[in-house]
Order: sequence, then C-alpha cells, then structure tokens
Amino acid sequence: MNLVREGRLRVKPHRIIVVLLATAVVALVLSPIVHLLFRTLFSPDSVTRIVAAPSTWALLGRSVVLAVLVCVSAMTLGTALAWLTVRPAWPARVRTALLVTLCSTLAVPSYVAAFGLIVSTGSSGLLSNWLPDSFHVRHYPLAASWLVLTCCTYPYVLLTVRSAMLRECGSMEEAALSVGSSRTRAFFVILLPRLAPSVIWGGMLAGLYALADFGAVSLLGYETLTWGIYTRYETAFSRDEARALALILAALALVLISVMRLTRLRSASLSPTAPIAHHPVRLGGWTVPMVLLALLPVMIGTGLPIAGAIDWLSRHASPMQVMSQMHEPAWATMRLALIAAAFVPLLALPIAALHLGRAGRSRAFGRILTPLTLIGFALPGIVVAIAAVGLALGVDDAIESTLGLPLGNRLYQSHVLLMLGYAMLFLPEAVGPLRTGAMSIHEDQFDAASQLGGGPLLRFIRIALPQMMPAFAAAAALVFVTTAKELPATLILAPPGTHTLATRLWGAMDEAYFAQAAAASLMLLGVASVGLLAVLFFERRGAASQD
Amino acid sequence: MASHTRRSWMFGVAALSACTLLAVTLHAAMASPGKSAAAPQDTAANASGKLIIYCGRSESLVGELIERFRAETGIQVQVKYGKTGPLASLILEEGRRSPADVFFAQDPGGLGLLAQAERLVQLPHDTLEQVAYEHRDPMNRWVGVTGRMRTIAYSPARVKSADLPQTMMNLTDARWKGRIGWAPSNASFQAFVTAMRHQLGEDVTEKWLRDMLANGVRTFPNNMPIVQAICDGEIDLGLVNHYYVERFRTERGDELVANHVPQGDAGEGDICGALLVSGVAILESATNRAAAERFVAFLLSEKAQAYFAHETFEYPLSLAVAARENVPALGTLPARSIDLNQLGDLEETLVLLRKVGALR
Repeated sequence: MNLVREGRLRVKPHRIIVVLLATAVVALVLSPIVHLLFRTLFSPDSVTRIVAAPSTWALLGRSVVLAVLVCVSAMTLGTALAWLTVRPAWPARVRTALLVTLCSTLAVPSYVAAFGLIVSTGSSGLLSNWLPDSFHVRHYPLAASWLVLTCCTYPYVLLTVRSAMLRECGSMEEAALSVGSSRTRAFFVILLPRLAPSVIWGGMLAGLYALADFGAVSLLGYETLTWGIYTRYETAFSRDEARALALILAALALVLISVMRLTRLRSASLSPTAPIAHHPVRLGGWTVPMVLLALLPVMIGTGLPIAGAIDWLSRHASPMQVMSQMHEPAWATMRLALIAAAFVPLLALPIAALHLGRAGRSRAFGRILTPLTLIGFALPGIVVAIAAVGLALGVDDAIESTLGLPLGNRLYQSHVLLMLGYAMLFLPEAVGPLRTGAMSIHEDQFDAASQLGGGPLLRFIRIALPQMMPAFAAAAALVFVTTAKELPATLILAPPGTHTLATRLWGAMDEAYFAQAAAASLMLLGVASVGLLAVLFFERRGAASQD
Repeated sequence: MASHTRRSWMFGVAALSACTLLAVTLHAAMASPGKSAAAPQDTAANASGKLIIYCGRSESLVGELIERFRAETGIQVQVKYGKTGPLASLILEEGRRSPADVFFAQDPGGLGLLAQAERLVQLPHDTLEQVAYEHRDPMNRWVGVTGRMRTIAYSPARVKSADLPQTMMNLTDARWKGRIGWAPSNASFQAFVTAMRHQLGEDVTEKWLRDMLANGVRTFPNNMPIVQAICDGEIDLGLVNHYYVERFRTERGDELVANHVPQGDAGEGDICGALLVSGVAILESATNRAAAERFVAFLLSEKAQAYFAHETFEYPLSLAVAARENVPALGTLPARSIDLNQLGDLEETLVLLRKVGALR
C-alpha cells in the first residue's frame, strides 16, 4: 500500500519544493553578478577600455597562475593532513588538539599571515639569522603569495575531506589490505577516488580564495585581478572599471569551476555505504617526524604572526590594557560568527538535499546548481558587498513604492543583509561538507523508512539529519572561522556601530598601531579556536547519539 | 533500535531549535547595540536619535576622540569605519537613503567626489573660519581637520644624512636604484603627484615617474608597509606621510626609521613638505543636522586639535592650536598648499599613473 503511494513514477511534491528552495538559494548567490552585469550595461565604454588594456590580461594571467598553484598545493596538503587527523590511533585529546592547531591558519587573515612572513624574514626578524641579508620575500611575489595562501587555505581541504573520511567505510580498505595490497596503494586506489568530490571541492575553495584575495597579494606585491579591483575602488573614481574587472573575474571563476568539473575522476560512482569503523593506523616511529612536518604550514600561517604579535605586545607599556580594549569587538565577532555559522549551513541544506537518496532528476539539478554556489566565493568581498547594498536598496524601494509607505531603511542597514552577504560569500563552505554528507547516506534506509510509512520531512529529519551531523559541524566550523575574520563585506554591510576584531585589526595595522593589531589578532585566534572546539564537541555528541 | 532512532531524532530537533533560538535572541540583542552604553540625553541637539558618522579614518586614530565627543555632549554616536574611497562610493550608492550624517575623510578626494555629486551641505561660517582658507573647500562644503606632510622616510643606519636627497628629482639618481619604495594606489601619493604636476608641469612629472620606475622603485599597497620595509632592510628610502615614522618609533621603541624633508635646490621648488589634509563634511541627507554641526565644531575645538597634535602626531589645522614639537615644523618648510578641489585633476593623475605603468 505504501509502495503504491510512494510510486517512483509519480512527481513527488517534496522533490519540487526542494528544487525550488535550492534554486532560490542559488539565485541569491548569483544576484551580485546579475547586479554587476546590469550596472556595466550603463557604462559599456569602461568595459571596452578594460578589455583593450594589455595590463588587464597580465593581471588575469597572474590570477590564474596563483589560483591553480594554490588549488593543487592545498589539495595535496589538506588531504594528507586529513588522513593524519583521522586514521592514526591518536588519544582523543591529542586528536582534537592536532585538528584545532592544523585548522588555526584558517583564522588568520591573509594580510596578517603575509605581514608575519615579511616581518619575520626581515633584517631584524625571527628568521633573519638563517637567511642571507639580501633575502626579502617581497622579491619573490608569486612564491611568497603562493606559500601564504596555501597555508591559509589548506584547512578548507582538510575539514571537507575529514568529514568525508569519517563517513567512509573502512571495510573496503581492509579488504584491499587482506589481499596483499600496500596501505599506500589502498589509499590511492580505494580511498582517494571515493574522497575525490571532497578533495576537489576543498581545492576549488582554496583556488577561488586565492583568486579573491587582496590582503596577501597586495602586501607581497603580486598584482592580480582582485588587486586591480581594490585599487580602483580605493580612489572612488574608477568604480566602472572595477565592475568591469569584477565581471572578468567572475567569468574566470566560471571557467575554472567548469574545468575542475571536467577533471573530476569518476567520483559520481561513489556508492554510499554505512560507515564501518576502520582499524586505526599505527605510526610508530614516524609519529614525531610526521607531526613536525604537519605543523610546518601552521608555523608559517599561525606561528609567525603569533610570534610577531607577542613581540609587538611586549614592546607596549601596558599590554593587558590593550588586550582589554578588544573584549567588546571580540564579543561582537563571536555573535556575528555564531549566527552566520547557524544561518549559512541552513541555507545550504536544500542544495545538499538534492543529493539525497536515489540518483534521479533532483540529483541532476544538484549537479548544475551545486557548482554555481562557488561563484560568490571567487568574488572579492567588496564587490559582493557593494552589489548587496544596491540590491537591498532596490528591495527597500520596492517595498516603499508598492506599499506606498515610507518605511525607511528596512533590509539595508540590518543584520539580515549582513548575514545574506556572508551567505553570498561563504555558501560553498557549507555546501561542500553537507553535500558529501548527503551523498554518503544509504538510500536503502530511505526506502525502508518510506515502506514503514515515514513522510518525506520525517525521513529527512530522522534519517538524513542525524547522519549529516559531522558534515553540519564541518560546515559550521568553516563558516564560523571565515566570518570571524571577514573584513570588506563587514565594513560595508554591517550596521554603523558594529566593530569586529577584523575591522579593529585592519584599522590598527594600517595606521601602524601594532600593539592593538597584535591584541586583535590574538583575540581572533582565540575566538576561532573556541568556535572550532565547540563544533568538535557538537560533532562528537552527534556521533555519540548515533551509536 | 526504536529508542536510539528517537534519541537521534530528538537530538536533531533540539539542535536545530537551539540554533534558531540562539540566532533569534542574538539578533534581537544586537539590534539595539547602543543600549548598553546609555548616555544622558542631550536636550538641545539630539532630538531624532543617533548621530551616524562614516569615518574614513582608522578607529585606532580617532575612536578615542569620538568617544570623548559622546561623553562630553551626551549625543549617541554610531560610527562606520572604512577606507575613504569605498565609503564615498557607498554614500553615492545609497543616495537619498544614506543613513550617514557626517563623513570624516582621510583625504579630500572622497569629499570632492561627494561635493561634485551635490551630496554635501554648506558648513556654518564660524566653524569654517577657524581654518585657513587653503585648507577648506572654497564653496564651504567641507573643512580640513588635520594635516599630514609628505616626507621621505629613511634608514639612519644605512643612509648618511649628508647623502640624503635634497629634491625629489634626485631620487632618480642611479645610487638609489632599487632602494626606494612608493605606494601609487594610495590617495596621499596621488595627491602628491597632482601637486607635482601643478608645480613642475606634466612633462617633468611624467619623466620623473618613468625614471623612478626605471630606477627600480618598489611598489607597496600603502604607507605602513613602506616604513616596515625600511625597518626590514628591504629598502632605504620611502615616500610616505610624516606621522607613520612617528608611529613606528612609538610602537617599536627604537629609531630604525627617520623623517627627512628635502629643502629643495635654490630657485627650484620641491614637492616635499606639501601638506595634505583630512576633512569633514555634513551630508545633504543628514537627519541629525544639529548634532552633525556640533561634531564638526568639536573636531576643530582646541581639545580635539590638541588630541590630533599629541596623539596622532598630525598638524592641527585650527589656527588656534600649535603642532607638537618633534614633528617637522611647518613654518620653516617650503610647504605649499595643494589645491585638491579640482577633482578632474586627480583623475588626470590616475590616468598618468596608469599611462606610465605605475598603476595597472
């Protein structure tokens, strides 16, 4: 009887609702680009000027080189580190500490990491004794930008791959080992292809982050498209040109995303299995060297900035007083990041839901809609934020003119707009882990549930959500940390009077108030670590309730 | 089986509702950020709520001063900090809906853009008259608050004071090859090039820019990293605003960098020593005009001007207040005021910088 009601040939209304919701979310993410396109229509001469300038193509070339390099290195590093945090037999506390330490580089804004590298390799810096006097990182802009951005972005791969690895069945690897395969071979032949969607998604995030980065490339002197966009916004005269450059950047992102999809291994064949615990790997004598090697990028991404921060604070007469100035922005940062960490994954849920259950038409929608969410991530924050301002004012105008009531600013200047802005920028950070979580849920569970009379919503809540908890945790962690350090969109979209650690940090650093900048960056690391720890705790509780 | 499915179901619902509840309460809590810092209501000026300031100057520079204004007048203030250029763009984008009452800008470029778009109102005369004519808008739509001087920052350890260049023209000398830093995307640098074009002409400026590039000048995003690069030994000279050097000395507690103001050759002028102003304006869409005027008057008050002189090492522009002793004295310098009101001029500077390849 139930089988008849849930017949495969019927159009299922809940599927339509999910597709509509997912389309609405993707439309939100793409709205800044539509706005950009619309605005550039009114200044076609700026587009022709930009396209005709040879320097534009030089900027484009440098952007591509950097994005590809960062993507490849972050994929390699992140996957290796994910394996290191999941597979070896660590005591629980060591595992947590290792994971939080490895992810800490995500909390460091790229301009802080770049500045840390510049100062520590300078003539009076920490590393100056090991370097020749004539060595300056800024003489190697590409290599330095690549190093800094790899260190800042590998956690995207690490966290995404980790949550997939936790869901991955150990039995297939065990089977491979039992027929005499080496562990390395089992990793490359069995595990890696199954992890490929996560690895590629994390790599895309890393590469697109490099595309949209301004902080590191500007300090290290590597002039990319994003650099061109920011310098044009800085003078306020060249906004038309900035928009034209942003459109080129968006087109480039689209190309990169499509290319990545072409290079995908046959990962769609990933068949979901129920996770069976694997036997932990014993590292033995390799433990210490491997951990030290794993901590190397942390040393560069987090260690050098912390060392610099402590140095600056120690030069100040009353460091504790400087630190106490940062309490208020720390709370504001915590609040904003918490809300974003709950809100953005919630928005990503409909897109993840497209990947649930049997491969059908909705998964085809998923294949089209999911990569589109990446585009906002490739755009510099300032571009998305200014577009969001225009859109919000349009909405407010529409409300005013249709209702005939002067409502004042409703959407604009509200925290809702700020959250929508974060969603436009950071949605793919949540989509990635959630999609992997959804794909690895065994479809037979749904069939069984529907045979027993469970409705679609109940099935989703009872079967899908609990199994997606680790993925939810990874998504929340990523969004929490990146929201905490976000600067350009926060500056533009946050209601007046909102001051976060990132805005204090930037304001202090730009004007050479180094003690304040140091206090703000240490606080930022603290807030991010609290967020990561909370998420890990949440994740463990979620996993425990399943056992 | 049944019990633990129920448990996980309950966990899911509990987690989701907890998140939602948290989000709602926190949003509600944040919607009224001013309530924790309730100040006595000012009867005269503040009838319609908070004064909203868009501030292109860093919170580290002026945050404390704005707090003093709040404490002194009881006027509730909310500040949006940012870079001057993007904030000016934002105000233009916002149009009549702009919530901003006051725009406090780092450089006159952003103010001029808003003046040109007719987004500013005239300031009261008694406020304007505190500042010399050359440091304010001739049409009275903005007024200068502080001044910064263009100087050459240098490393006293690596450059002997006798060797220091006496005009900007000497910087193209082969001895400085690869040893100089500049920040072509920075508004202060662009103002300086504008001044150079006025004083020495287009051709001389263009040749100077090209010669500088040929001399291996290093490009930085703004002033701070230039001074840091001098401390790090990457470069020996940098074209900056004077107060960065003072800040580095205060912050680091050493004297790795110093300011140098070229005195110029006899008969030939020089651009160093040019005074660049930060300024403030009131927006035409301001809903809180009275409080805004009080804020502008406050910035030019003796207390605020003394704050700038002593805390941020800038030049007070109010005729009544003197600069701090350890900054290069204004009177003895070949300082020339730069007329930055001609915005088309600044745009031509950008065109020139792009043409020679200093900006891409």
